[in-house]
Amino acid sequence: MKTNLFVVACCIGMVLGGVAYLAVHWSIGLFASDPIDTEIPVSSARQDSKQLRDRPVNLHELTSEDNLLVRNIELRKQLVGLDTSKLLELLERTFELEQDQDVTDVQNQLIECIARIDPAVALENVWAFKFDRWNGLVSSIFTEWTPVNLDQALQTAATLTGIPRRTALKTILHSVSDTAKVLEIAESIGIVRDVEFALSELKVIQSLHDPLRAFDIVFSDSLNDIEQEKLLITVAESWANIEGSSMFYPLLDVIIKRFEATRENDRETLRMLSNVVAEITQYHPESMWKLVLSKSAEVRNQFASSVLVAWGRQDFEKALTALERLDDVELQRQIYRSLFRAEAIRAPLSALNNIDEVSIEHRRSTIAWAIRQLFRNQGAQNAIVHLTNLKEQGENVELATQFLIEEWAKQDVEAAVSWILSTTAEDDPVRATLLDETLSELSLIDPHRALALAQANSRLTAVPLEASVLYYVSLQGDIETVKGLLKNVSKSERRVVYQHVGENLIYFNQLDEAAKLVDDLSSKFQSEYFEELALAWFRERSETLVATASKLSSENAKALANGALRFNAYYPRLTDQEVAKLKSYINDE
Amino acid sequence: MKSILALSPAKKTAICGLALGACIGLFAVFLITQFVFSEQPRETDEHRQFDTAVKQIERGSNRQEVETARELLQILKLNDDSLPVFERFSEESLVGIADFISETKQLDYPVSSQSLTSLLIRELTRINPDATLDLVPHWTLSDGQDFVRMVFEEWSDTDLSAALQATEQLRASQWQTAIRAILRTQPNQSHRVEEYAKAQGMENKLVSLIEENEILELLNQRPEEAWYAVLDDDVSNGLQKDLITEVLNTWISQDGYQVLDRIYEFRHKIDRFRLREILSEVVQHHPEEAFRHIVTLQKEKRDWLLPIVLETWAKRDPEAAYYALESVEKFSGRFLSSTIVSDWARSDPVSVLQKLESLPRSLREDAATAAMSELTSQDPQTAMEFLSNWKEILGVDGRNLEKVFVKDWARQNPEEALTWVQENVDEAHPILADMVKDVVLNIAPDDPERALEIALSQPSRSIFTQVYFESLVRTLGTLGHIDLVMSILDQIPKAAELGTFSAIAWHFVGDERWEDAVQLTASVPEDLQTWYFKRLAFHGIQNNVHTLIEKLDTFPSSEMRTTMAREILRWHEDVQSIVSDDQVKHLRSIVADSNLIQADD
Repeated sequence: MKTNLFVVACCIGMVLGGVAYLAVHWSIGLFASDPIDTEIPVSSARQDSKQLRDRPVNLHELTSEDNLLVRNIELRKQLVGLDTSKLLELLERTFELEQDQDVTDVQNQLIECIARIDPAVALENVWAFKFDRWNGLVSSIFTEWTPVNLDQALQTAATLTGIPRRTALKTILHSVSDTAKVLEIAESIGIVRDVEFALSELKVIQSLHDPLRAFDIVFSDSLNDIEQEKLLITVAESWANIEGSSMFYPLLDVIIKRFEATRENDRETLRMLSNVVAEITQYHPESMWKLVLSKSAEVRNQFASSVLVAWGRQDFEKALTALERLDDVELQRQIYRSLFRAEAIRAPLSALNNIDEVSIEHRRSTIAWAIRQLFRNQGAQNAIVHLTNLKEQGENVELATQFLIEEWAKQDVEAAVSWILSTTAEDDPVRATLLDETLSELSLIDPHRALALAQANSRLTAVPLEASVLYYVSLQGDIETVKGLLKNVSKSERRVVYQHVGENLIYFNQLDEAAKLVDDLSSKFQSEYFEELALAWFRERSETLVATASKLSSENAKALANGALRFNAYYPRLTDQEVAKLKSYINDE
Repeated sequence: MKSILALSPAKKTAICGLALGACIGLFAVFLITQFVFSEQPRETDEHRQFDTAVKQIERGSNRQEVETARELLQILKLNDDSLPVFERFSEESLVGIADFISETKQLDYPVSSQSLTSLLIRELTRINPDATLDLVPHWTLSDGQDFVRMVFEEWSDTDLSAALQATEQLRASQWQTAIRAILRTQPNQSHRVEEYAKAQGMENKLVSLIEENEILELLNQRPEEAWYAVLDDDVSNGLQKDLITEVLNTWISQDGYQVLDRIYEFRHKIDRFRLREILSEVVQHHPEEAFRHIVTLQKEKRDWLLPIVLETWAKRDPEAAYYALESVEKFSGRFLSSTIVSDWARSDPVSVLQKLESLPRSLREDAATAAMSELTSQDPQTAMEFLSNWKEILGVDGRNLEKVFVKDWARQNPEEALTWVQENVDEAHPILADMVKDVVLNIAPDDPERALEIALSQPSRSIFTQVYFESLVRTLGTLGHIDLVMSILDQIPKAAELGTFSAIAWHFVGDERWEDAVQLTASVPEDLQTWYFKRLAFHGIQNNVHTLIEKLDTFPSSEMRTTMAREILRWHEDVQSIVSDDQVKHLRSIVADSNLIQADD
């Protein structure tokens, strides 16, 4: 009996003990108000964020949270209510952490939060990130900015350049329901063309699933060729990504239709169409080549070179073999030139190493392009080493040397001139040809030396070197230096020199200077000067001929009038009164 | 204590039992709770909700899985065809995502669609990267490159090897995007990327991506160094145009347009046309600002940069660019003025025509021509009205303006253009020939008989017949109507014979119709026969000299064979080596045989 009673009491005790423990535990938990242990229904998220507002944000803890979505929600709750300075402080601290995807997430959200409060401040902070982050951050800022203040967002977008500008404009357009309003503001701040382009880009992107419609959008908009080219390539690439080379047929049909509607002198559009074909060729060059060959002669002439050059970038040998099979000799010759040139620029060393495999006809230009590219890539000394190794190519290296000097003179004309003088003989005509390549640059920095070099070497060439120097110097508009040099010009080149200088003065609208330039010279020379200058004067400043002639001596006025009236007979530009006045200078004689 | 001792034994037993029981109960519940809480981590709200949702889905709510997938389609802007792809994600994970979406909707500030899209793509990638990649073709928001980028940024972070392996199935442009993403998120793993690219035979393309990546690393902090790096790397500048442009854009955004001053010094590093293209792009948005800076530079730099800036400006606002150019002193801008005025005329032809007399005489012809061409393309009737008003302006060649008008009108309506020509242009004026040519060449594709009829109706000694009849025959041949021309050979005016036979020969040889070419000899007048054989030889050499040599022996006339053999040899010796030594021997034997025959005669 006692035992039974004990067991029953024990059981009741156990139940009561358990209940008591739970009651105490629950009441302690309730007073402690630990939010983490509190079961919070989804709907209580707002309450949660208020509680979290005053807690310091632990970036380490947040970035170490594995679950991406959980982390995102948690961070958003913690950032709500923080002011800009606090958010900027946090952003600053993220730069101290090891940069990985998790930190990137946090930074993205911080910028988004700052943009919500002050988008201009958020934008200022974008440039501290690596370049490849700009696009996403700018987009996120303008997403926040546009609904709040469209005007300000658009004005700020207009101050940006490059990719951030395009991203900002596209984001603005993407975020508004009424694009007419955007265009209205754009008009007032002078960026309507940019907005139209961004709008077209958005429309095109939305139509990528229907490439033919996307092409129509590009062609129907008033975009310039560069803008059209970018969009066409985007559409074509997307199409090729989906359908592979089977899209070549409809694509080429679209391009051909456009090509046929293009005026033959509209070179920019023709170039743009060729570029699109070239870009798409990479997906399957052989198919594109066969397709282009199956089209009309005009289409073939327009696109064959682009296709083979694009193919050559992938596989030069195959492109070359395809070209060798082409039965149109003239077209073949043109493409050979383009193909070898592209290859020499792409892989100059390989082109030079295999120069004996290049047909003799194309060797000269291939060496020249390769040497120029080597100069650009590796500098003058390396290019010279390669040039020297090609000595057995004889005349084929002359053009390459010219190319080298032309580029080198832009970088260091003194060095280029020294090299020419030290490597060519005094009586070598090549010396004069090469020096001619340096004169435009040398005339800028040391006109007297340029003239002296020209005079010392002019007997080696039929090219009037002194005239070249004076031409370049007079282009600088420094008439006093020009006059100083004119005194030293040799007699044989004097006429050409004065003509060059006189023409430049006319182009600069320094008409009195042009008229007075020959004041100190013989009257015969003066007449010849005005007669030769008449064409430039008539062509450029025909309105001033009568006034100029009235200030000249009767001989010079007659010479000028004679020349001008001769041209006016073919291309009438003078009024009847002007013609009568100019005729009077001739008849007065 | 005393009171307890005073209790009855039964009560004592009960109290002891109760006390012991309470102790055991307390201890047991303590143990249970400790066990339970130590086994279960401190859950966040989200985990609990996920569990709830998982339980719901475990109760067989397959419907919810589909609903979540549909919601994802909507948020991610995927098309309906992508729905089956979501079957490859576990129910549990989809429900977790659904919960997340639901919670974001209740935040104080909603998550932007851009951030939400990015988060969801990344989460899907974490769950099942292969399936996520298969969603790319279904993305309607753009061409898929952004989607690919997000997938590979995440994937390379969680499993680089798998991510690299997955690049093998991508097409060229997506491959580049994926590798770019990997290189940027895993800068220390470029050696592994290189190994993979090598295995895929893509090492050439990888080199440029690696160099691009290095340049981008420099870009935001030291754009000037990035500029040096991009011009000095081993990748052709032609293939890096966009990168170079962006480097320069960034540099300008940091340091202003004074950096253009420095660019001048790099003229030797980059092809001048390429550099012009790049500079055009970077000044296009603020050309007036660039202009203001450039006019303060040294003259040689100013003169070099001005055309680039002004041409770019002219594309946006040609009138402003024109007057800016007029304001520059000591600048030889003749060709530039002409280009800009033509741009202006094309963008606003009516305004330019109305202002024509205010322009310098030297520019009026270019302006009027460009405006007339544009106006005619837009509205020929309005152009016609302008034509009568503006062709008398000093500096404008009225006939040239009419020529432009007819050329552009003929492209749209050649018959109407012809009627206008017949009513307005003197038959004796040399310009008539150009106008008739433009008309017939535009009629030819749709009505070749009519084109020939108009051509044959021109006076036999006209410039058209002498110069342009051949162009029509060539065009008709290209359009596949050479036999139509053959059918009216007897009507060809004498002045057009040479051109016509030459054009027919060109087509016959091009199409390898050698028998027809031989037969045509009968129609060629006696005095033109030798000339005709030489034309055939010329076209044969241009087309396929080896076929021509093979055909030589089949030609019936000895004169034909000999003339052509001589022409091939002359070309081979004087112009370019085109035949082999054996072929030279064969050709010489043909010539020698002919000489023998002549000697015998």
